[in-house]
Amino acid sequence: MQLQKKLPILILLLAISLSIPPLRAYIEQSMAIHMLVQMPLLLLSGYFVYPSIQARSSKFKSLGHYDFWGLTSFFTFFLILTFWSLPISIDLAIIKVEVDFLKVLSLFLAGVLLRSSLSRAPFVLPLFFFTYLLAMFIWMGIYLQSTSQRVCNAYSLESQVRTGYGLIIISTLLFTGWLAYLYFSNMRDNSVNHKLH
Amino acid sequence: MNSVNQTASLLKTFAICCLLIGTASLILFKSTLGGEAFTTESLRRAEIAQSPKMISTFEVTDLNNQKKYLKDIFLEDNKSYIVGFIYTNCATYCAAQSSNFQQLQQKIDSRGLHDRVGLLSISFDPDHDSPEKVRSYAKKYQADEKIWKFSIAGKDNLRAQLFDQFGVIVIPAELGEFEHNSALLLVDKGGRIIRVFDDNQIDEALNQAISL
Repeated sequence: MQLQKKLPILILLLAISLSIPPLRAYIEQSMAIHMLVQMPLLLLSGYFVYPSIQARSSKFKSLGHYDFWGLTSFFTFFLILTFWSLPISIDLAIIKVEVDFLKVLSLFLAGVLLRSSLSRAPFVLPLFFFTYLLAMFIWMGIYLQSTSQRVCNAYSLESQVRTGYGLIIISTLLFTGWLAYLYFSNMRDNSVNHKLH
Repeated sequence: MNSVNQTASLLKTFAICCLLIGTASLILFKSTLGGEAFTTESLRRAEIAQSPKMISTFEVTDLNNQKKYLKDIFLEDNKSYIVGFIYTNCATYCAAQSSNFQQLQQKIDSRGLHDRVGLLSISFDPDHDSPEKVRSYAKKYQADEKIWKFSIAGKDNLRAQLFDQFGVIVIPAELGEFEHNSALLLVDKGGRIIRVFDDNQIDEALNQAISL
């Protein structure tokens, strides 16, 4: 219980520390650490912190009126992610501290929104959206590892190629893992139902 | 939730989502110059092509250890300049750029364009590049002072300055190297950046420099 509460804070602190010297050198020199470590950590911390926000805020429930099927949450999450996958945004986050701050804040928020969207959405919506999102990431990964054009001025081509491969691997794992999770949780539900009948 | 409530909620959500996506598209459209530029490099080129960019207060040190504003070099010499960014430790891009500058120098010399076009290499590594070091670098490339000048960027707030003024991103990498973008900037005698060329477009850069 204690650990569950502390975990999101620890992840968040780790992610933030990557934006502050001396650890900042890692995200400045490696596109993969920036995009495949720091950004996911920010999303994860938001994702895990969601239950405690939801439990504390009484207003949270009424927000549901503006978030039918979790659509508003989802689109905000999606737009934040799209913005931070643009090369111009990534370069800016490296060059300008204030943009980096915005990045940390918005990706944390995106993590919160992802969970809130999932908690309100009927089954088929996430299936559709995540298939789309992960397909987009895989496409992006393929592009990054195959193009000979540097998309970010801040990173070397080598770093970009590594990020491309990483993106393909992570997105594929996430997708298969998620499908497996759906499959097995569905089987479990079925067997519970069988016992009840 | 009853069905009236549900419909109301769906409508509200729909309205907010439309607003959200509309605003985001607008921001995206503006920040990428109408979907034209998704990389920093293409963005700076498109921006400069749209309207030439004035160089403001960028401080440099010349090889005689004199501090001055970069802009004054262009104003004093009253000719257009092809400008590149280098550091003397660099083995890849800058070396290629400097040999391109060498070729440009020959062309300017043989076509007698001394009064119309100049070359300027600016070091963005003031911590390691002293005037002496850059001077020997210039010697290595047989730079002719009358055509090809060198200077060293000032230290104050250098990274932000390089980006804001020239769209150049410089990130320290391992072994004293830097990750940076390399290009040729064409600057007119008024100190305005007119266009950005690829490193190998030396003829295009020279031709446009003459036409200014």
